[in-house]
Amino acid sequence: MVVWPSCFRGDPSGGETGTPGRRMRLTALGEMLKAVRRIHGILVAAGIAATAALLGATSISTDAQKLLIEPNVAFVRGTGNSHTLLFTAIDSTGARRDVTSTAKVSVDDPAIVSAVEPGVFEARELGIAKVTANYQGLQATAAIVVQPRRTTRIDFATEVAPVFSQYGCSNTNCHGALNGQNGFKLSLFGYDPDADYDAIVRQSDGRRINLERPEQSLLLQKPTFAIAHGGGRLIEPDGFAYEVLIDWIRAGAMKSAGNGARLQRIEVFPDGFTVLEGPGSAQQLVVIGHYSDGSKEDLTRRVQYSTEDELVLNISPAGNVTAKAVGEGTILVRTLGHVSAVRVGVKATRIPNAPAIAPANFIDELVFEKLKELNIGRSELSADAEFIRRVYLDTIGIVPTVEETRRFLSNAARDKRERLIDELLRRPQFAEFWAAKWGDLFANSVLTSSDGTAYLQDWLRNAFGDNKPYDQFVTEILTSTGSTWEVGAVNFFSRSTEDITTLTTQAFLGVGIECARCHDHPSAKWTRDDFLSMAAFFSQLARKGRRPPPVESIRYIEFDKEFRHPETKQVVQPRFLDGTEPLIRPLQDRREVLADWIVSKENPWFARATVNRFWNQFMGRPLVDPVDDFRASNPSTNHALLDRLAEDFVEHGYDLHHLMRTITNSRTYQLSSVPVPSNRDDEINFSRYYLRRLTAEQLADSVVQVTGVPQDYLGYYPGVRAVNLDDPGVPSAFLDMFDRPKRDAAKCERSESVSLRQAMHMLVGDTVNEKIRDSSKRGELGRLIRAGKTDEEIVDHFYLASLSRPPEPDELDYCQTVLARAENRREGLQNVLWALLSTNEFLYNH
Amino acid sequence: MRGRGYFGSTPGSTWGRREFLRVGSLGPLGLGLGEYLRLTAAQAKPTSDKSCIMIVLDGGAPQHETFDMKPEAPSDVRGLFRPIPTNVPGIQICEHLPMTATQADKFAIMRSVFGDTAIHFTGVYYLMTGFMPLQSVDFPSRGAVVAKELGPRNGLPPYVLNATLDHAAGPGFLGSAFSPFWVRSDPGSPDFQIDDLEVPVDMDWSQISDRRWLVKKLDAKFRERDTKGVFEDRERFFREAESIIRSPTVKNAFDIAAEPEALRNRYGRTPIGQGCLLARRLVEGGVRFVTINAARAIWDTHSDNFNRCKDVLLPEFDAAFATLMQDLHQRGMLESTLVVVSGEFGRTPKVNPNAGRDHWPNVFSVLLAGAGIQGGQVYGSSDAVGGEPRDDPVSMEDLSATIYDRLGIDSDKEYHTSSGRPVRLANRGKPVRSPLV
Repeated sequence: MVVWPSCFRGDPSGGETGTPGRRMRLTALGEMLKAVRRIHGILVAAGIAATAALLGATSISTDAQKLLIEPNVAFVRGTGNSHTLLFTAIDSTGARRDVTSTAKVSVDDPAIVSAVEPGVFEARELGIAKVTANYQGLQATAAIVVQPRRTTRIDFATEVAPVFSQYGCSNTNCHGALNGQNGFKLSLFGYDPDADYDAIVRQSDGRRINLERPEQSLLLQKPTFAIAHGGGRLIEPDGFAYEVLIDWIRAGAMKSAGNGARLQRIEVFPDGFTVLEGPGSAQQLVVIGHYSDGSKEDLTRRVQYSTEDELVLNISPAGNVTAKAVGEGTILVRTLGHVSAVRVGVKATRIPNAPAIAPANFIDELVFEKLKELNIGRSELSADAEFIRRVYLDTIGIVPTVEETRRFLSNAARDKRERLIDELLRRPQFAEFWAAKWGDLFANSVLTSSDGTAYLQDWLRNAFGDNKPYDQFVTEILTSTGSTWEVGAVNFFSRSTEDITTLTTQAFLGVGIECARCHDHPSAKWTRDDFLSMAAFFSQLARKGRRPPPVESIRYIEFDKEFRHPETKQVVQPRFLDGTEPLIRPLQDRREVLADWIVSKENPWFARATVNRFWNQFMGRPLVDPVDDFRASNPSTNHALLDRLAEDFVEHGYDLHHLMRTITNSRTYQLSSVPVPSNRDDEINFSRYYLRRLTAEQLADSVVQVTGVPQDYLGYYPGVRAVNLDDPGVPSAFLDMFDRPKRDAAKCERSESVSLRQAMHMLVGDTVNEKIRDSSKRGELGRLIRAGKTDEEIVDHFYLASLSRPPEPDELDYCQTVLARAENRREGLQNVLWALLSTNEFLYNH
Repeated sequence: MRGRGYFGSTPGSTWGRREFLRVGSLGPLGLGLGEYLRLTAAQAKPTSDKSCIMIVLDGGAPQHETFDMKPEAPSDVRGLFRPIPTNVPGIQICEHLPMTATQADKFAIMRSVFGDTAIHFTGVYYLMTGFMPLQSVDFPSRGAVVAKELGPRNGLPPYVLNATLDHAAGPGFLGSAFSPFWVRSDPGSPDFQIDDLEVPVDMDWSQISDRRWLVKKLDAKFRERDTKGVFEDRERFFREAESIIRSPTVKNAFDIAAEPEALRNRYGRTPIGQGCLLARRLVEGGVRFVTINAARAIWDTHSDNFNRCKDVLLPEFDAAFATLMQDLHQRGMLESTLVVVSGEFGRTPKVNPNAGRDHWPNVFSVLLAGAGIQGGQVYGSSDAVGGEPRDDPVSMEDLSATIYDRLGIDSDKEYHTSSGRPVRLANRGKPVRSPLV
């Protein structure tokens, strides 16, 4: 159905089927418009609000279906400018469909606004016009308010500067680079229009602007490629951008015109997660700018769009998203340093055959809902044998013993999984395992903390062992003072003020501001001032060594110590990342003020960053990825789930056990890792349990447990488990080749490499081969042989020990083949044990 | 994205025994061995005979104290060292590189290379991959690309890393099949050896074969869980590990103790000296790409630049590099071996109050030799203070393209990441040819 021509003709009655009541109100509206036209003035805010209230609820719904126009009050500044509106039909499942090009649309007063192409309305005269859309018996209306321009001249900050971000001139790889490009530097993504004005008009002896002959300005000749330009030809001499630039130069290239309004934020429609019906379907975006003077404007065609998910989505320069393939991606919308991210999913056309699983808690509801939206099937529930191995590895970092597995598999209680989780959380190995992870996170090593390393690990083991509420956990660390040998937490500060700042924001807020240490952040809003102002919270921290060399030191507070700007040497005042400057009393430890802010319920990052970190530990993928990179341009894959987890965590007093129980008791966590056809490609929506290679310590400690042969580590008591090594410098080629981190940077995620090196070591290296050799003497294998066990019993034992399940009959046959071929029984059993420890099933948590 | 591994079915590579048997047994039924060979040879890409030794002067070697001296500049720029003539008239280098000066006819100096970052971490990544780091793409290091493009020779791993630069040396999105063979130990230490190359005395190959056979059987059902092809990679590594451990060629290639004592001393008993010797031996054996650095001798001279350069950094490098040039030349290997020397950036033109120089990506010097590079020349120049490129600027992307070009690899070739993003090998850099080549 093509109905647009009627709109081009400007048929005023097109499709209007409003009720008499509404017609009446519209008459009043018309009166108001006339008044507006007469005074040519600015609309009073109250009038706008009234219009919004009037039109807000006009969409008619039938059978729980809705037609939506977004935004439903639109503002255009100045005649000749246009505004894009989105026309969306919402079906009974809540799915959206962009019907901009199929809805029948009419404008009540074509003298004010007329449709120039589907969804785009051009202002002809000041006033208010009503837009009505009809689609499959549904109706919706919206208002377009045409206001005068702020001024007759062109304003640099709101009208000219956006051109440079739209065409990518201020990107990191062009003039937005640290040193600019060819001597011309713009602020990154145009966040600083004042500096950009200087760069364009004042620097380079003003040769970029030619007021006498505007068209000869370098600013125009370069991007049109009239003269050679490294960035190529970007704008056309007859295009909108060119017109803006030349008009501005003709008018004198003024810095500001009008009321000095600045862009404060951008709003993108549709907001939230948008699902497209399948490859080929499309969705128009509408971008509205909100200015400091309270006004709004359509920026849809004046912003830069980009996506890194080019296989899934295509985005046109005018903001039209097209689905290329089934999947999911992010569209970034940028202008003047502001960024907004839109998540778009493209659903599979085939509806999967998902096994019915009742949700155990809100996690399942929110995960399953998204899978349903995208037609991604979920895997079956894991078997008990899979579950026990998984939950042991994820909560206490080691595979279960043969006895533990047998007990669990033969237990008939319905709530046995829940009970097992409760039991594991109380084990000493739980605290050891998580303390080691937090040692990674805090980059705790002898290189930074010297002799304090072990004390910090002890502190962490105690904190996890006591299940210290996480707000308290963090506060205690951040406000600790005293000896590095007596107060373990104080070793957190065994690094430079700048490193403490980076670590604090990254570990507790999930925000990476490291880049801003030297320069403004390239992909987030953080400036160098933000970084330095955060660092100022740690300025009072002083140190003295108790005895040389500095093995033990004392950290204490010197209240009058200030943090100084590295170059200007000015005192920097502490300021939170959200921009607020706290009141700090004299003789107050600034870190207390900071800790209070970090762990407060209102902090937008703390709870989210924490739940995201734990979610990642159990589920193998974070919701915001990377786990410590929360920023506007890096949206989560499931906002509702992230928010709900965070809320729940706060409501339960930052109780880590509660958080872990919630995750591990969910059906989502307990899904099988065997993919089904419709979820093979899913790597972000938790439709199955994702495989993870065992960490170095999980692997080493599990090999020791299975073989019954302890591993010695230099400088540690006999029988120490790898998870309890406090420092990454303890020599172990085995741990290194399985990606033990060097702890030279704060990081909780580890690589999961497979390598030639590992294969060579498994084949002929000493670690596993020696354990197997010794196992047949003083370890498990020897014990079983001496106890007179049959081959079958021994194979069964090692299957349970390593894979937490008994062997299948065919597997037993294969083992027997190898046993029969061996020179002697001992060698044969060693070969079987080696094979089990070399399987992917052993190497991977599944 | 996954491709052929190190020891795929390229002629001349070592086959896994199983594969050999399978092919052999086809004889009476279908293809004979000869035909199989011919077919796989037809499928294999034309391989170049080139290799590359990449010497990373990490920390950032100062251009003013090495290959781009500014004797006419004010004293706070030119520093304390004087230039000396080389065996090529008109080319001068630092007085503390006397041995290198006698080899200048064999290498070219690029004095106009510029980068885009003053951070070590990103700089090393940029140098070794040719790309600035991106959140969304893990770029392969050049060694991994070369491993993929040229494949293995003589059963040796194509890409060997003997440098603590692992964050920038990985295979990136090419996948772990192209990971470097990482030699972690210091070849300069007296007890240098490669671990895990020998079968333990109480084991033999038939036992290893039984074990491997059983693993494959036991893992069969589990395979369906892998959606990313990691298990295949792991299986391939096991096959490659076997052929490496079986191969006398491999052990021999790593055995620098077999080199004459006098030559070893000439290279210098330092990590960079023995690293260069190891690199030469590996390339001679068939390795395609070797990356080395000077281990603990890091060029990050924010303070005490001149003493550290004079006492440690320059003499160690001088002996190692000059001997490598001579050695490669004498063995006729220079024609087929590209040698690249570069830091991740240069250092500031002005000496700071601590007698040091700070990070400076705007211009620095790179040495290139072999594989068709015309020695005895200077390409490009920097300004009067060694602060910005003056003539013929060379970007990191151009440098990257030049390296690929010399190795016979099309630098415009496009890869696709797992998400389908196209990536050109040299990120659109243009190879420098005339008069360099």
